[in-house]
Amino acid sequence: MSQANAVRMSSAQLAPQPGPWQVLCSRDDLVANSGVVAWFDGAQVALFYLPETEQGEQVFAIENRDPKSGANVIGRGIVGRIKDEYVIAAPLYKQHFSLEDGRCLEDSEQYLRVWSARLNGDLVEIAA
Amino acid sequence: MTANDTRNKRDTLVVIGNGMVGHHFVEQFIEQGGLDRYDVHVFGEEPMRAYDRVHLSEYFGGRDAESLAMCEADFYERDGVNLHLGAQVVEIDRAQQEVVTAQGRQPYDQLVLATGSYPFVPPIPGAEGNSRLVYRTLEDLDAIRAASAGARRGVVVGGGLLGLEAANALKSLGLEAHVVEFAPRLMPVQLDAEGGAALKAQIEALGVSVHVSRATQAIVAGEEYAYRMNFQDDEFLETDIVVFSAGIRPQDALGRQAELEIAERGGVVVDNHCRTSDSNIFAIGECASWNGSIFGLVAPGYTMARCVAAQLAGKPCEAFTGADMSTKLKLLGVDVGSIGDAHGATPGSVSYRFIDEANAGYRRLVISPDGKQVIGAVLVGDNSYYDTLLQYAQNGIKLPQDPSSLIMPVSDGAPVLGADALPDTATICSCHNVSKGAVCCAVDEGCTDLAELKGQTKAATGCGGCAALLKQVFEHELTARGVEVDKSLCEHFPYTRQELYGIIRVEGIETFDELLKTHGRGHIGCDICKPVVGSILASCWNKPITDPALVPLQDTNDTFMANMQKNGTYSVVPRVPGGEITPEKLIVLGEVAKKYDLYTKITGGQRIDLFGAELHQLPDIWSELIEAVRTGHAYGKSVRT
Amino acid sequence: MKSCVGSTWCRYGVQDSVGMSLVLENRYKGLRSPHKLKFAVSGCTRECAEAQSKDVGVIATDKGWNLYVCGNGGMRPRHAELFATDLDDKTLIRYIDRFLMFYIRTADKLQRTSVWRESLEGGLEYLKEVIIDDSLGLAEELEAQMQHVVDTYECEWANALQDPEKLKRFRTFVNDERGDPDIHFVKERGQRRPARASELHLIPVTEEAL
Ligand SMILES: Cc1cc2nc3c(=O)[nH]c(=O)nc-3n(C[C@H](O)[C@H](O)[C@H](O)COP(=O)(O)OP(=O)(O)OC[C@H]3O[C@@H](n4cnc5c(N)ncnc54)[C@H](O)[C@@H]3O)c2cc1C
Ligand code: SF4
Repeated sequence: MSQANAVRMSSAQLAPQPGPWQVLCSRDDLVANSGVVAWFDGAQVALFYLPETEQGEQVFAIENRDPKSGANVIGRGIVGRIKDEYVIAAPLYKQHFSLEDGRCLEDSEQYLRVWSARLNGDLVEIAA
Repeated sequence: MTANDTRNKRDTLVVIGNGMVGHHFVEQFIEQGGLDRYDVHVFGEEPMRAYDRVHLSEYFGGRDAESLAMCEADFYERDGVNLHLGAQVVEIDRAQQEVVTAQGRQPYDQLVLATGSYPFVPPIPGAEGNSRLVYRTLEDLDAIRAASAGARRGVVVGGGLLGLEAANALKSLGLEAHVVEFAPRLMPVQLDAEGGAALKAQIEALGVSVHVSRATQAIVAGEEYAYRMNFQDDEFLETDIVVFSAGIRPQDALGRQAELEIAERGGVVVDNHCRTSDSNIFAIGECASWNGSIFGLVAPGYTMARCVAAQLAGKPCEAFTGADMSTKLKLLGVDVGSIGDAHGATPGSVSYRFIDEANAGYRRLVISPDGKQVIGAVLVGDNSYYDTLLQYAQNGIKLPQDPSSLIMPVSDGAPVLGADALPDTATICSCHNVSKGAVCCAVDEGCTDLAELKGQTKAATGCGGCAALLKQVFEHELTARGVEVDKSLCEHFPYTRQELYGIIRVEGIETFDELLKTHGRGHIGCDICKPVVGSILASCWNKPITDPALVPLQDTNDTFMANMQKNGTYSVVPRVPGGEITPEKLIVLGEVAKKYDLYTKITGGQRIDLFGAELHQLPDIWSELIEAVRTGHAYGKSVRT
Repeated sequence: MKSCVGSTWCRYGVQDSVGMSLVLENRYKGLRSPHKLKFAVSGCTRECAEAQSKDVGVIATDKGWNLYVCGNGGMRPRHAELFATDLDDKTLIRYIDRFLMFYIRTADKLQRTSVWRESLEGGLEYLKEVIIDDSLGLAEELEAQMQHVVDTYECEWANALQDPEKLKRFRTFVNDERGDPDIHFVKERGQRRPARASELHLIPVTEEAL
């Protein structure tokens, strides 16, 4: 197990938080059609904000750690749409992950954790 | 039945050797479902898990050991697989069915020997320490690197394929490199006399001295350099280090100890199914001798590995019936190719030769006695002829009217054999044994994407030498089935980059959204079309790339105006026009590097690269640099060095 | 851009190669292209700046400059080809303007000039006709397009630093001050480098979890 995982697990145990929606940051922190990263209870969450999707505006929350490189860089990839699915291309090796379920399009052994996220007025919220 | 019961009933498979072939075997074995039947123990003598020995020389070119690994670190961590590294097997106890290491004994039901080979060092008096280096493992390369510190000259004994690679490595370490070959020409196994001479000329032009017909008789202390190598006839050559690359010998010590049948010229004897004289023991790769031959290349080793993996997993397998030893390589940047009977040794064979003295180029075509088939070829200087010649030789394709046209220079590059001329049995990828038929099958099953094809068939994922041929065959098959070969940039734009450039220029389009609405399909684009359009917009209109509408189009390097490195930090490269810089500016660079603890390196383009900046540090770093130096655009597809 | 010291210092030099490389670098520094572009200028035919391995190579002669194009080092080395000889400064720049813009116009994505050149039907001769003889009547347009890029150059770092809105993204976490806790360095030969996975056990984990 990599060290990043070790940290994440132990702090998750330290801070079990009930309640479905938690405030992560504000709308102002997001960058349209691109990503930023937030700290969430010891985890790094990449947030992608798409102002105009078919369902209106949407925020996706996905794990920031790229399993292939081990670096925390997913939030700095390019957002796109491939075969009717919103995806993120990891910046170092360009593999794609579905923003909806976190699976890697090229390699079934890689996947990223995803969280439910929403915009609530000026707040960005995430469900643990 | 509980999981435990199944486990108890499983047999144990032991693999000795975790080299390229041993690893490929384990991979294939797992893929074929072998773990349902066996627990696997792999013993490797080297401290590092299997790595790509073929690209070993890149270790000197800046690749680290980890990036040469054949698999991710967790590959060997799955259930049922145990990898023991730094563990040499010292004995096979066939009576007890156990292998013995310094750590203890491990029982086996089935055993696979994949112990590879070791470099042969001729018994020359005085060869020891830095005058007795070899070139096979990462540790060998570490030893060479250490020995080359402070050295000025290095000699490689042996002018074969590996010797020339080693010479290149010495050169890349900054040494004056020499090659000493016993035979009267370089690469005596693969090349004929003229080919060897052409290669020698090209290699000497690159600054490596070549001495042929020299037998080293002793190594003594030198006068100007550390050692003196004495040849016959009172000739000598002084040097600081000597690397031996005088051939390999199969690592068959365990086979001998266990009294398996050993071939006359070494190697554990195997049959057509890679079984040794003990039916519970297999041998694959360079330690195995089939029909009196050892195969010192990856592809035949992989074929053996697949054969044994299938047998043990209870799957149908093809027999191993020898392998083609044709090779194409780039040695010190010089193309060299050798196919089949390169020496024209077949009685009655006829040769065509093309000699280009001006560029030290040489090509030879060997034709069967009946004049109908290509049976061998030698290429020096230009390998673009290789693929076609190999197909002719392997598939017995009928020769053109004038066979010499196959090696004659043509104004438009080498002749290509149309993909339709290849029979279905033609091998496209020899590393993974993919035939043209298999490619056609994949296309029949609906594959229309090259990347998908590679994933499905594994073609062109080994040494990569067949990538161009694969693409050609693939596109041909698509066209033949009436599938239009798609030249679209991606699913969002049915245009090539050139066409998009025209559209953007002519219609004066300034944003991605506008282009997508007027000429594209779907929504938001993807990581293929966004950077391409971003770059075209910048080439045409040159708006700041930090513009909010442009930011989402760019690769991370352009977005953050710095170069992302493998751990997610950035390197910062200020512009130093023409490589000219005042001491004052240099001090600013130094101060910033010191303050932020940035790894500092001079680039080949006469600039200074500062590594290890974290994202949030970039603006501070720029604001401190900017009075002295400006952005170097090293992050962009733009003018760099 | 790579250059040798040229006639200013070198006893062999016949032109001011550093001066020319400054002119060229300052002219093309903001240009975006299908792939990266490398340049070099040598002060005489001894070629210390290795200009013949670059996309654009300039080598001084007694009478002016020789222009080489479409060379490449790296994985697939290719010698640059001699494109025009004994050019004066102005003509040199004009040809390079046209050459670069023609490449940008017609190359495929991520195609270096060397590969582009090999895919050009008609080869070097055709390229010479377009750039030198203006066979397509494009020359003026290409030059004007280049001039626009040159005139609108702006330092991208400076541009970003002026605008707090643009700097918003330069934060590791939008809701936390800390840096990325998974980035670890070790010292080697007196400098930092990224720690390898096998070295991470040396770094205490517990502190960071808190
Ligand atoms: C520099 C270089 C360049 C090459 N270039 C090419 C090329 O371009 N194309 C090509 O086809 N081939 C090339 N080769 C050859 C190719 O690398 C070999 O054919 C291939 O590695 C053979 O694989 P193997 O598994 O049989 O042996 P190896 O890769 O040698 O692996 C054998 C392993 O077994 C281990 N071992 C041995 N004895 C024991 C024991 N008793 N207990 C435990 N472990 C043991 C060894 O330490 C070793 O790690 C090149 C080789 C070198 C060195
Ligand atoms: S290229 Fe000519 S001018 Fe430049 S440094 Fe070399 S010898 Fe001197």
